[in-house]
Amino acid sequence: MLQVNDLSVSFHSRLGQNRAVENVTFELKKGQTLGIVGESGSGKSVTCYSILGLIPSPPGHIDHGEALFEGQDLLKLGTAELRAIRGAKISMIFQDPMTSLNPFMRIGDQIQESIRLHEDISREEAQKRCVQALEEVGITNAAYRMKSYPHEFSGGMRQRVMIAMALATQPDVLIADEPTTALDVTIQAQILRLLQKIQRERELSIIFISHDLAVVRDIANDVLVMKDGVVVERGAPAALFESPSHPYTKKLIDAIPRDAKPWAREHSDDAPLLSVRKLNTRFLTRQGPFWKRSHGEVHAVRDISLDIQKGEILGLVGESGSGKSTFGRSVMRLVQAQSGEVLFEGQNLLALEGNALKTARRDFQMIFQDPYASLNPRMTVFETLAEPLKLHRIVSSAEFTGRVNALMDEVGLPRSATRKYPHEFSGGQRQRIAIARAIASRPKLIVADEPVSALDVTIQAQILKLLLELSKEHNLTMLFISHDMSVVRYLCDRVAVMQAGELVEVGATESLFQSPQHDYTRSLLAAIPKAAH
Amino acid sequence: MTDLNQEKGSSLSQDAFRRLCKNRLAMFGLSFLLILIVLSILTPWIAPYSYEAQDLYKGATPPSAEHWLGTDVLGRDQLTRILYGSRISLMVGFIATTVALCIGVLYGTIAGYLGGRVDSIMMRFVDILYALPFSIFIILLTVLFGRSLLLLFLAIGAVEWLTMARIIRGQVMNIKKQEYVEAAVSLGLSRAQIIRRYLIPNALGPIIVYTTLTIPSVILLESFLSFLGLGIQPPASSWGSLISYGVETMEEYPWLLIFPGLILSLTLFSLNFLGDGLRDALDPKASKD
Repeated sequence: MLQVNDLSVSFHSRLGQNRAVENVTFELKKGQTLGIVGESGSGKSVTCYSILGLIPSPPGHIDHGEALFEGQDLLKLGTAELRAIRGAKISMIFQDPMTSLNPFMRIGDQIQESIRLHEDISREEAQKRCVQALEEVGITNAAYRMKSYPHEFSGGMRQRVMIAMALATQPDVLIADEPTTALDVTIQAQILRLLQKIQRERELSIIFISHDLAVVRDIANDVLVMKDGVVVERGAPAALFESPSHPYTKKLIDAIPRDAKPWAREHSDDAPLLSVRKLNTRFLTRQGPFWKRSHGEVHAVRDISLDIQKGEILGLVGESGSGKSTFGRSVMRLVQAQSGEVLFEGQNLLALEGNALKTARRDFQMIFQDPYASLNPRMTVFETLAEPLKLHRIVSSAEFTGRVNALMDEVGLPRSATRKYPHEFSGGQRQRIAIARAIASRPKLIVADEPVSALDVTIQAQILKLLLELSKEHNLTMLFISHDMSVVRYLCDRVAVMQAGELVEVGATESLFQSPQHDYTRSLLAAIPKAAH
Repeated sequence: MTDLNQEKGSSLSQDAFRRLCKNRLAMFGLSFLLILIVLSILTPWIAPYSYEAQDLYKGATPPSAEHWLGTDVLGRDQLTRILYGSRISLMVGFIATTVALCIGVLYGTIAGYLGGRVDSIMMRFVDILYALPFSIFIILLTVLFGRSLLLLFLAIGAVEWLTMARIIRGQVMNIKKQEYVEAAVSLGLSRAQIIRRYLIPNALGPIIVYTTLTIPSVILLESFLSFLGLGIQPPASSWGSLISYGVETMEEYPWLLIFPGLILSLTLFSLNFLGDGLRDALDPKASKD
């Protein structure tokens, strides 16, 4: 179907030439799925983008190679000819369904636009095809939903819309660039099943790009493992998993968190460090031109009671929208809870104000999901880490340097990096900085809100290990919020499951994984990719 | 880097200054402005003639060895009048812009950060001021307080801050949703500290760009007010008044328009270069070489 031979792509910058893809060769057969796996920067996306002429040039440049599709070399085609193939014969879906749809256009119009761009058909015909496409991806009441705007869909539904849009032109090849990375596990499982179903029905060929080997294993017939622009290993996924030959593949497989926590914590019967009693958080949605009147409300956290023992890591899982983040933020006093108590060492955090709250904050800190957004871009690492030290007068200013260096050592970053700004670091390194900031004031409790879900699997494994070590070393108590069950299993002593703002199940990690009581917990567990079992 | 440097941790402003020094266009702009400022301060001592000395017999003459930039219809030395004019124009430009900047940034940041009802009230107040016709506002002020240069600064500043406040508010509303601001809250920083260390530095880009756009518009606004008889009165001069006078006599005595126009455009260029340079220098992401 698609045959890529000896493709090399490089990027030119003032600093010199940078080979992003080197001598990549692969073949995509009809009705098959080719998985391309690698961490960010491995050249997996660049490979596919350059086939479609989508890399910015300059600085990008295709050095040599060919991409044969229906007898013609895509790399030699002109812009107009490529455009006729792109979207019509070869479609793409992207990672972030939020940003790849035009927020100002009804989704039906967007899909119809892409159909009519490639085919000369009437408006009515396009509309019919659009409804069909939406129904095919499992959107019920498609004729009505067509008139909705992208923001009216959830993340998973939006990804379905993207798929519908990509398939509406009836392509032969679909390139899916991390299509499920931004989604919850349960949604991810649905989308993967959907892709497989469509593939069977249409004999579609799919190139599936992912950093997650476990996901690729479930869906691909053939896997390429890429590192630094080079294909280091290829083969059938089962064989690859059984006997990886390249050390990098081994590393990727090892990075999949599938084991139980490496060491167990002795249980203490002391009073809990954090005790949440009947916590309720509601958001009022307001509307109105001048005086915004309350319009409705979202009850994000309903009557939740939860204890966390000293030194325990409690996992809080659920899909997006289940209120787990809001719960963490309510505890952190980042959003205002309406009622309930949050007893931290016997003190009700919700009742604290002003200076008392500021002093108390020293003892509970937060790690955020997005390491690209959680560091002030205009402060150096030194300033970022010195901030909590200065604020809570933890050490005198003469000792800042020593303390910051010690923190850098603890999270495994070079001391020389303190003068740099956040943008000079990779995602994993940034998350290390964020962790260093959180532990700078030697807090007792850390609320970690999806701290690894924005990271590549290999990096994810490193960060999880770091968190585990730190929690052991400092006897940290942690509320670990995540949608990823396998991560939770690796890290947590106990797990609490949230659904639609309510706590549905709490239990020790292993017993919850072995014998889940609630249906929702079971569906979460079922959604874990097979490789992780 | 040396240990000493690391101990202090290089702050944004030090880094920014270092980067600014490497930007040639910005340095050109900065030096031009500095020279202009020094010249206008020294004007009373270095000006070749008095700004009001007339020589009616001579009338308008083109540039010559005696009068480098020529004379106007009343025989006054053009160079002297431009130098005196730059005192007024630069002062109006910088002071009025500073007034606008201070009020606008503070007001916009507070409105944007607090949000909700406070924001609604604060922004509706801005809307009301927007709706007042500017010239009527100025006339009213002059009637109430008499005519003075200080009032002119305040009046212009009081109008220009509105747009500034709106721009900053939008920026801040965006920035406050970022996780690093939440992180700052959870560290325990106070509102004032967050505004100072997190919100304003991250809104600097648009602030600087808009400031460099405000200074020239303020300089021109002064000439409009002078034309209405509310600003500078002859025989005192400003760039604005020299230009509007030059426009009237453009066909007979082009040098009366060319020279003040030239100096104004050079100043605007310099400001833009400097502004762009500052924006890049203050953004750690812009470059690291």
